[in-house]
Amino acid sequence: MPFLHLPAFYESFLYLVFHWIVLATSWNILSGYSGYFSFGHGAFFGAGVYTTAVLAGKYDVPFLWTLPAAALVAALLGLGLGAVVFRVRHVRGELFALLTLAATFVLATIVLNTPIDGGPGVYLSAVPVPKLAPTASGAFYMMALVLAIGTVFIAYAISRARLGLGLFAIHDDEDAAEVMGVPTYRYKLVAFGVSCALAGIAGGIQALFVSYVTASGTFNITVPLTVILMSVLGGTRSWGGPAIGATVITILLYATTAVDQPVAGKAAVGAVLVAAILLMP
Amino acid sequence: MTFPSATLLAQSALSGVFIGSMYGLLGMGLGLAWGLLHIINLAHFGFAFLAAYLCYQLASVGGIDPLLTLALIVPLFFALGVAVQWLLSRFAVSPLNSLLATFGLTAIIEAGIQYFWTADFRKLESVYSGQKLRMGGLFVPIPELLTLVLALLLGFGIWAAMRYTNLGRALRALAEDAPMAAAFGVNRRAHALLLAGVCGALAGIAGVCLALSFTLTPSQIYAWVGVVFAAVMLGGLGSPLGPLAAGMVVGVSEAVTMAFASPSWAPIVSFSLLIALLLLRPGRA
Amino acid sequence: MNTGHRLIRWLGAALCICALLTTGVHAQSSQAPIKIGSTLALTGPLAATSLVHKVVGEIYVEQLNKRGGLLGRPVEWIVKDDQSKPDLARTLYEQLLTVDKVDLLMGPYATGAILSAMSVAQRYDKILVHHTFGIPSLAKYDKQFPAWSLGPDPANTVPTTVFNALAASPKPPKTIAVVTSKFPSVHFMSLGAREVAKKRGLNEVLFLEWDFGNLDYGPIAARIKDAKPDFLWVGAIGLEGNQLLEALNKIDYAPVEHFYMYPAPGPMSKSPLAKNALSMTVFEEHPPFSNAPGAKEFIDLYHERAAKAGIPDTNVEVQAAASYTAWQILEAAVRATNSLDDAKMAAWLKANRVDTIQGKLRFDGPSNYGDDLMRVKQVQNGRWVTVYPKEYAAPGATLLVQ
Repeated sequence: MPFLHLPAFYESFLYLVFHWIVLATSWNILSGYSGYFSFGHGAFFGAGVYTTAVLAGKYDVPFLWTLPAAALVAALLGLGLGAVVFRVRHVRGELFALLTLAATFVLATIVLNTPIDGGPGVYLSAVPVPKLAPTASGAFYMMALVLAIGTVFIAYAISRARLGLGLFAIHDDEDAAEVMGVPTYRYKLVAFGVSCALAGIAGGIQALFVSYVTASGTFNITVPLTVILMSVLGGTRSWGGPAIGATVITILLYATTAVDQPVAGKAAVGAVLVAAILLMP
Repeated sequence: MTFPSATLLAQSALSGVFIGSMYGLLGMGLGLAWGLLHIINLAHFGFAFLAAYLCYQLASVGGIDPLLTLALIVPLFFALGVAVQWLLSRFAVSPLNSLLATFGLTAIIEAGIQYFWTADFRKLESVYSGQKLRMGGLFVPIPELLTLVLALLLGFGIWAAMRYTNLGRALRALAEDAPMAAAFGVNRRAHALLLAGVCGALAGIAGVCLALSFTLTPSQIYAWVGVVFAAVMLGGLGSPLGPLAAGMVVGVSEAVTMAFASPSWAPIVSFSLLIALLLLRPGRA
Repeated sequence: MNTGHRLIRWLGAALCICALLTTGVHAQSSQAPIKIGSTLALTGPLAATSLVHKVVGEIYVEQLNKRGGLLGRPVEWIVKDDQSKPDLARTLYEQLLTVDKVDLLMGPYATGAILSAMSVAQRYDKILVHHTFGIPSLAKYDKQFPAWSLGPDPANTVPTTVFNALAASPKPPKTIAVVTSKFPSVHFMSLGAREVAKKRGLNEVLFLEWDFGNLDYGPIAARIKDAKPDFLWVGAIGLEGNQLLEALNKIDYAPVEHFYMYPAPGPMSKSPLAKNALSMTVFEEHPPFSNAPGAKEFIDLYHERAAKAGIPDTNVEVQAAASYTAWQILEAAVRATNSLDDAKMAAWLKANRVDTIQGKLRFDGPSNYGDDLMRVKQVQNGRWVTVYPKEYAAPGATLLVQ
């Protein structure tokens, strides 16, 4: 695409689409497959945002090197949380959702009150965009494209592997799955780790894309809510569903940016969503 | 960090109780619908704000006492709750899809509010605003006190109704095992519609309380989602008193932290406490 | 789950919506107008203030076209809704430049979105005039020009103006409490206020910060009441100032002297609790500001249009004035260079002064900032009036103390 000489806007817009595909699909790997609904995807996304922001913005680490770090930090955070949470038997269903939501608030508070951010936000104007394409938008497009393909492929591979079957079994009946010999603890942990790592990378790229990172802009209810909506819309048990949901919702939201009456546009998007859900077979 | 005076501490804790009762009141209808009807109703927040704006309109333009607007708002939002439930059950929407559909509904409500009242801030000035009681060195604002009293009355009222009336028992039976309850002659549809209506009315009442104490703007709809969801999930789905208790835990622990330390650290205390409570709580599967 | 069917169904629905929503948008055309592109947060949390900038932009473009447009061509303003999201603002500015092919840019609303727009402008080497940028030290692009006249070091100069005003008041404060939101554009100012207060020998009796998005102001109010400062500095954005005032009132406390950075102008001046509240301004509806050329017409038009748009407070103050100023800067640059050449316009702006309703602006300082034009205003009888410095005070107005 960057080599097709289309206006840069298309790359920039497709970046947004891919960005949400990665977030929704990665969320789905644990939450959709196993039924452990996370309300905390914003925390892992945010961990990635701030890892890159701090490393690239404050310590001048080359941007591409910060992405593995973003993945690692987000994954470790997820694994740490998972290692505790998955051991406690009664934390299932909405309680898992609650724990991950609470973890988001805790992380946001830490970021806001320590030198990680401290209040003023982190500005990445001096960080060069890697030269992966002729233009900066092209580079973002390339990175997000690769990540999106990778994420969807991982989601596909997991759904076909023993791990995926195990996760689906957990979704249907965790106790039965355990009796049948599915290592539920390990599976959930692995899925959570992968899910968080991918969200972390997406966060890292997003940090440079927006180039000015603030705690209130990063850790809000929008990210977890949006990825859940996208995944549910596309179908949480399919590997490709969240990607479709993400594409549709991103396009829908974008469709109202240029209209004369954006408020009416917003209502129209809402109405489409309601109608679609009610009429969906 | 210096040790705060007793008055400061008590005044802060009181403030936490009040905000906690607001969390609880907003969460009550949400949790009941979630637990008993398996509907995750994001539009509950939208309804509450719609009710708040209606109350604002009737009270500040129409000159009606804000509490009297309840006479209109309660039946109206009861009907809205019934209508939404009717739609969702007519099309057999799953719990997750209900989240999606009600998100769409919230967007419509938000747009509607912005269309009629603009995005500018609106504050209801009524006979209650600024009124307060003095108890020793402490001040108790009337609008907040009303919220607390309403939340307690409704919470205990619904709790008692669910426990001691046939209707309540039938509702709980439906939530636990619908086919079995149906076999015993419980009319599922009618009960679900009734309960959804009650939840809608609760959103309406919460909205009036919001209008009494807070400045309104459409995007504030989402400001409450995180904390209230947390209170509902911690308090237990389907329980009228749980969200209230959980809301108080969050509200008071944050308020007391704010009195001691930098207020920007407050969420870490309340939400760490919440995580600990959840992990250590003896088996509620 | 049948993914294929869902895909088709959804893409169909999405395409229909796109088609519905975009028809009629690109219908305007005339003799090759000059296109000016911008985004504003028409929906989302920043929508309240963005509406002011939409109304002002429409007024200005209308006036401009009445004057014959620019370079003999009519002017068309393309404004898109960034939904209060900086990442969307970035993509939209890219769309404005590469698809809509606008000739000139105007900044979006608020610091975060302006930084997004700035990074796009920088990549395409376009000049960016913006009206509401709060953190001058972050403005690192050499072709950006601010209309929110904070000067290059507002964390020092703005509090200094405030403390000068207080020192000249009938009752100069001896103790100060600084309470602030951790919202970036007010937070750094509040930290600056602490420094300045310390240097001037004020005794700080309380300092505290809260998380942007905080819902419970009760404990913060209780601490302020406990500390009993002579002067209360509040770093609060939008709604927060009112929320704090309400919380203070609930515990029966009215601050002696109090300053807000940046309050929601209308709701604060209308609130009975905000008696004598102080804030900053670059323009209010009274002399000497209203004597500036064009100010009178603008004020009258704004009253009419703002009322029509449903804005409750139709007074022209900082937001509307900064917005108008931004358009004046852009127009001045085009007229003076008689071109749309970004490099020429930028060079001219840096070398010359621009007449605006705020006064004469210059852009030759650090980050293209000139003088700090922030004056102190106060709520008196339900209106904001400028009270300091004297040359800018409303006729007969002085800083009142309870």
